[in-house]
Amino acid sequence: MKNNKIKSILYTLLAATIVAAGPSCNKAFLDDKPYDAVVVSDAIKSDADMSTALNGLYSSLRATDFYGRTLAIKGDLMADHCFLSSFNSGRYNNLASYTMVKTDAYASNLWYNSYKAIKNANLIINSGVAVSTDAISHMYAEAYAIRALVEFDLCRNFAGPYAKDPNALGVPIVLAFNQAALPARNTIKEVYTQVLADLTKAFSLAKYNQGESMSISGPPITTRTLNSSFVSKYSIKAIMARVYQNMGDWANARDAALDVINNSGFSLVTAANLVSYWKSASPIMSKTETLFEVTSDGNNNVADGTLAYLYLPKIFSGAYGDILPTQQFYSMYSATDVRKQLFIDTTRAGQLGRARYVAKYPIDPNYDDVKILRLSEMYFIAAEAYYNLSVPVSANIYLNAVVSKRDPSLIYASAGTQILTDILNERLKEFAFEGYRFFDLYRLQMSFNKPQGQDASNNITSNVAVTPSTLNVVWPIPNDEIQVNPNMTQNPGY
Amino acid sequence: MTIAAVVLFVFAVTAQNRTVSGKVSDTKGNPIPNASVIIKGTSQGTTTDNNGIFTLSVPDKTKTLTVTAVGYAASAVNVLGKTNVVVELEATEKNLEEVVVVGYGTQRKANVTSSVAKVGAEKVENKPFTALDQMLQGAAPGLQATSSTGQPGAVTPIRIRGVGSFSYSGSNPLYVIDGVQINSGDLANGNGGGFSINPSTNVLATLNSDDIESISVLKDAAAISIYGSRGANGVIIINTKSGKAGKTQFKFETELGTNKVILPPKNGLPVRADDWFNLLREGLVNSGASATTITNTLTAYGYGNGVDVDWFGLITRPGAQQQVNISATGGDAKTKFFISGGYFKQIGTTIGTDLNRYNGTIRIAHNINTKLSFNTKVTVGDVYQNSALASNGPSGGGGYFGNPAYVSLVLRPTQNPYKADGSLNIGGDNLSFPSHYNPLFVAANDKRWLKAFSGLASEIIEYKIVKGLKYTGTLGLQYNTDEEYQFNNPFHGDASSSAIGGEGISIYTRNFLWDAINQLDYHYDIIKSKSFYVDVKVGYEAIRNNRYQQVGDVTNFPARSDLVYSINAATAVNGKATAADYSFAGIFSNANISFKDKYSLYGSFRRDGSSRFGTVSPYANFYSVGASWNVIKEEFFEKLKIDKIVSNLKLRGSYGTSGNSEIGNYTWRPIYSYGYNYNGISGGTFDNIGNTGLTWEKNKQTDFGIDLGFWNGRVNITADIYKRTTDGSLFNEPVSRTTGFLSFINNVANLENKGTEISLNLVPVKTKDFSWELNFSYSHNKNQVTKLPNNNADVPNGNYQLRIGEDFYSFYTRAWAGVDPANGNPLWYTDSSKTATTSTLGNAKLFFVGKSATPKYFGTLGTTINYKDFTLSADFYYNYGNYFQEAYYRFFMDGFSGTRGKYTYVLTRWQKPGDITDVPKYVYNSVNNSYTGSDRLLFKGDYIRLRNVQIGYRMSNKEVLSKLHINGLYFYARGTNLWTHTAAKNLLSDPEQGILGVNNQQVLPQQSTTFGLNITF
Repeated sequence: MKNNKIKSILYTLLAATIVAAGPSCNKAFLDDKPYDAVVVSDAIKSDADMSTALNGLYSSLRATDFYGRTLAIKGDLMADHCFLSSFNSGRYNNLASYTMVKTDAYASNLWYNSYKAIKNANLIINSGVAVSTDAISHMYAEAYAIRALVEFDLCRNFAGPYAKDPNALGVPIVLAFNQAALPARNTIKEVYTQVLADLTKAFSLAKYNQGESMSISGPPITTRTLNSSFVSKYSIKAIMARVYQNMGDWANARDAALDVINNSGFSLVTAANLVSYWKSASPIMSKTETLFEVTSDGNNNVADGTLAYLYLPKIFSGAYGDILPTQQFYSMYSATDVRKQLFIDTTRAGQLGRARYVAKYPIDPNYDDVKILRLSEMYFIAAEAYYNLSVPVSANIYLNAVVSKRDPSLIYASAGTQILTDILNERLKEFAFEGYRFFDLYRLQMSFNKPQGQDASNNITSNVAVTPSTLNVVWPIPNDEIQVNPNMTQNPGY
Repeated sequence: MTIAAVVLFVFAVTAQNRTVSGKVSDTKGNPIPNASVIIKGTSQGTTTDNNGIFTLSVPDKTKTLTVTAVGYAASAVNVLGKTNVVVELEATEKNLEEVVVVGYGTQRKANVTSSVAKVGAEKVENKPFTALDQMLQGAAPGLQATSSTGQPGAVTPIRIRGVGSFSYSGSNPLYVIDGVQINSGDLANGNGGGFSINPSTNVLATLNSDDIESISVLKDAAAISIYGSRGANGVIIINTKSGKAGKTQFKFETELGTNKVILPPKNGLPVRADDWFNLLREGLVNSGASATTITNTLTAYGYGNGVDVDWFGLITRPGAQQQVNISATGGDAKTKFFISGGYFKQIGTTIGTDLNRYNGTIRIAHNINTKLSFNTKVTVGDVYQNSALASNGPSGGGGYFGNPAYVSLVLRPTQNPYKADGSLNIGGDNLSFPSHYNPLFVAANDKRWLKAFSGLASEIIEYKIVKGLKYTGTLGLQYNTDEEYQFNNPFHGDASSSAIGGEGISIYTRNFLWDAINQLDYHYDIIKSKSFYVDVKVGYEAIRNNRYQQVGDVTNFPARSDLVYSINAATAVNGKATAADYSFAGIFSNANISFKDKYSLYGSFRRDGSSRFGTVSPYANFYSVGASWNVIKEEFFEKLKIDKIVSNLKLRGSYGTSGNSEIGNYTWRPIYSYGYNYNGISGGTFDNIGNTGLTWEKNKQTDFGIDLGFWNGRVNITADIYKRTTDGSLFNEPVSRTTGFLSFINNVANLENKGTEISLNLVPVKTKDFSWELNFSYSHNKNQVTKLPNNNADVPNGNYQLRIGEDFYSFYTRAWAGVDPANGNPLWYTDSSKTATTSTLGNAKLFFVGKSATPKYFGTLGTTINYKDFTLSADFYYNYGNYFQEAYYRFFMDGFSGTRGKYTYVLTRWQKPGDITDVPKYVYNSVNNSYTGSDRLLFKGDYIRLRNVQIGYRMSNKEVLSKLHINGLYFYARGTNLWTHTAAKNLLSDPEQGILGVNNQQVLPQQSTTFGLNITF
């Protein structure tokens, strides 16, 4: 019978449907695994894994509101030598005007990005991979060094200067991931102690200088070569010099700086090469000038969140061109100073008078790298250390060692406090728009005027007077941290 | 249809008897199944089949058959000497004949115990909207649909009975089309791809609303609980049209019209050149600039050059609207079909925006025999959409330098869009476009398109195993591809720098979903004569979705604008592919016991598992109970003899649980992810804390409802009160940022929604030629946060803050205290006591300023007048009690960013001591924060809008129709969004600004005037 046939077909179909659905009932059906991730506990088991995790750590430094842009912007825009153009993209207005409030997003993001990097470093430091090769040893060193650098920068952004009161509140020290942790702030001294401990440990574990290679076990065996975008042995010492400088521990600062200058094999970039040095956007291995930088490339970058996009307008391949040097600062460079070539002297729509665009970051299709440590800084630290240790001759020698490579006509031979003035002026000229100036003023607790604009005659229209106790010199602990963490103490005034 | 009957007739006939066959239908011609046909005076008889057909052997001399059906008046039919009769039954009560689509089937409205709002096809047919979700505004009480963009094809977010979940995307309702739990919303960008391109995609924009038969909005627990883990925020069931037996009927519908932009109110329009220069001069004077500086600045910005540009006028245009649909339906008792094809086109009123859609549907239902039937449906839709440079989503729009709505405010009226030779000006001086772009050039040379394909197919097998027991197998498939492409030209705009030289970004997203359901339905008549029966359902459902996405990004194009594809470019900067899956598996059951249509009891149960939850408890159980009482059917009520007055009185109540699982597919997993590359080498990082104990967000809901009818249905009222609590909500619990994370997902927070919904339908006049109908709906919902982690500590939430007892979208900011009449300085209250003021923003505390983005109530007001062949209808939508924020206020108010365009509202600024105004002294490039961080940026969102007004003519003259060889003709003219009234006079933009209450300068809204013609033949 036809009907029976249909029935039997139907029952078969029915049974098939139900059977087919059967496997769906078990747990495996619901176990949809991600396509781009693994379980955390399986992540770092070998030297190859460590190398991957280190790349993750380095890439976290690249964020816009971190080393990528905001830290450097703060170091200049909150200082006395530049202003926000009257026609701007709306970025960093509250930094320029010293009107940041506790909910400020730049402060909040810097805090978060810093601890994100520390978390990434801790994951490597606490991975438990045995130090069985030089490569593994050095990779631990890199993680320790970055943790120290980030912790140090956190402390000088969210706490007062060490020299003012080392026992004042610093920032929390975080050495391991704990989801439930609600840490209180350590003192500044405790933070610096931890930073130096990490750096000491890092230096003892470090095995390779810039340009040297390590072997990572396979299969296949690969080679990891330390270019300027990785922490090599002497960049650790360089961070140490900077830390001691901030502490005012001049003997140690001098020793660390001299160790880099004398033993690293690095050389200063010459006047002839300075412009091309800044134009090169790729990491180097030549041990010229750059001890450590954070790199970006065409595939991995923060898009338009870079220094170049902010400092240069569209017509010069940037985007905004918001921040301009003051006339007074620009005229500090003599005509023979090669560093003057790092500025474009022109006009800007919406801005009266001249516009001297910062051209240290000539945008490249691979995006610019952000220099974190340069050899020149070691000479300045040595000079400042000798000045403070009352060896003015040596101070002038180290100052002139850099200056002579920038402006052949310039030789310093001052005495007394003028030496410090010379050093600070030259630091400003050398490191302008690399984020140094504000931190010098902060570290030395100096008062200054923050320019708010320039008129058609390139005169400053108005200033905000800044003293070491002005609000915003120390940034607010982010309000969202305070709200979650009852143990957190806000900075005074917010 | 008669062949089967004849066959049966042949076998059934006996010597003494004759056979009478017939069809039983309602007054509209719809067949009535299960009608009882009895030989009068005997107990012999039969029932009609699904098509209302019966065949009955009767003694030769039988005179009369009695035909009865639930909900209809009994009818006596004279069959003397007849072999075939047509029986029309009149409904006894209007509501009783209605069938309501509910989860996994239908239910007779009389027995529905839950709160379900039905939206008929007529509400969505031929509307000048690009997507179905836009049409749902005002469609059902308790359903809030509020758009923030006029971009054709954009998603309209919907909330049912308030905000039930903490995440924005997790608060969307579930859409079910023809039984399939579909992917909805923005499948390309909004779904965690990590890449962003500007066109918005919307699954619902690929559907042809003319193919829709009905929409059911499921609101209370008794209705949604059967959807278990996914129903908590309401379910919208869409059923598409199916074939109707009979002579093949064609329907031709066409509509043409124009669209016009709705510009911001006058206060929100930019000032023109004279005013702008006055402001600039005044601002410079107030900033202490020297006379030389003032002169130089004015000159630099073109003072006296005669340029005065109306930017909004340039970026908008008259839009157009067109749609054509053709459908055919027909068939016989064994096979029915419905086919349709449609074309829809909308040219947006903002330059660079449009949408084109083609649709096709085939539906075939075939009964193999009386027991076995197949139902096949295939719908495809193809969308081609162009978007303005403004991002999609809740915080879309934004400060793109080529976003037309934004730059129309940014650009100065003195910037000339054209050069002397008539070409577009893209130069770099003060008078042209140094940073923000000429939107005319960007719109003309950039591309931002979406090609979306959507295929929906369902195959349904029904087998009637024994009487009352039915098996239904459903396999539903949803296949979507979204091809997005963005080309930024190398000359002017976002990719015009020499290093980039033009950019092409391509994103391809594919989603493939299958949903398999095995279901048994059992109907058992406990006491048939008393209509005492039980309906039981059990089923098993499994769902899996796979999403695949490819991204390509290239730069360095040749120096031209016409070769837009990435093949022409030199440098590849991105080329990645990724995928993501989710799965659900569940068993479900429900039962409905009904007695005499008086009492109904309902219960449901579902056990669901999902890949989106941790290893500890991926499964959960959901249940609901409901009851209804048709008081009017009670004998005591009948004794009151008020049936002439009270025609309906039904009480309903329900309680139950449902779940929400709308989180990331892998959010619960503690994971270490890759792609954090450095130096061109692979990098990884621990980037999600996860929570292996994560489980469902549970929603408990209680609902009481009453359905009332008076004067034979001339007045109908439906009212519901409800309380919804969300327990263990999926919440991003904040952690100390010193952990390196912001939050982790946890079931820690609770929400509560309480509300009232009323809908009222009145027919004040009803005569043969004239009728007048009025509709009114009202929805009120009160939302509050009831539990938060960390001992109920406040949780910052963008513009809002989460606090126990406060509405979810309560703005948390500083309170603006106006302008100091003495010196024109901005003032804020120092704290919530509002006793002292300060002119320094940093000295003012943040607090709840008593303003929320959630409306206190909203609803519709509608009226329809029919006179002979003419119909006039109007529908208003109203919304009251919410506030919205002007996110880009800072740039267009006060002297900050003094070289941008300014709102006309700025002209009321403070000018001299004693001036009483709300706008501070205008100081060029002032950074006193007057323009930010306070409730000065919040505006009242109250409005009433004429959503729809329509006048139509339906030809009823049969002679004329037959001369034209058609069955029906309807002609109409319709206006959409023609009129809006706002309560606040100081608004700077349209008050409809989305669920979040933020104006992000998205594409401006529009109004439409359309003319349509429908012909059936």
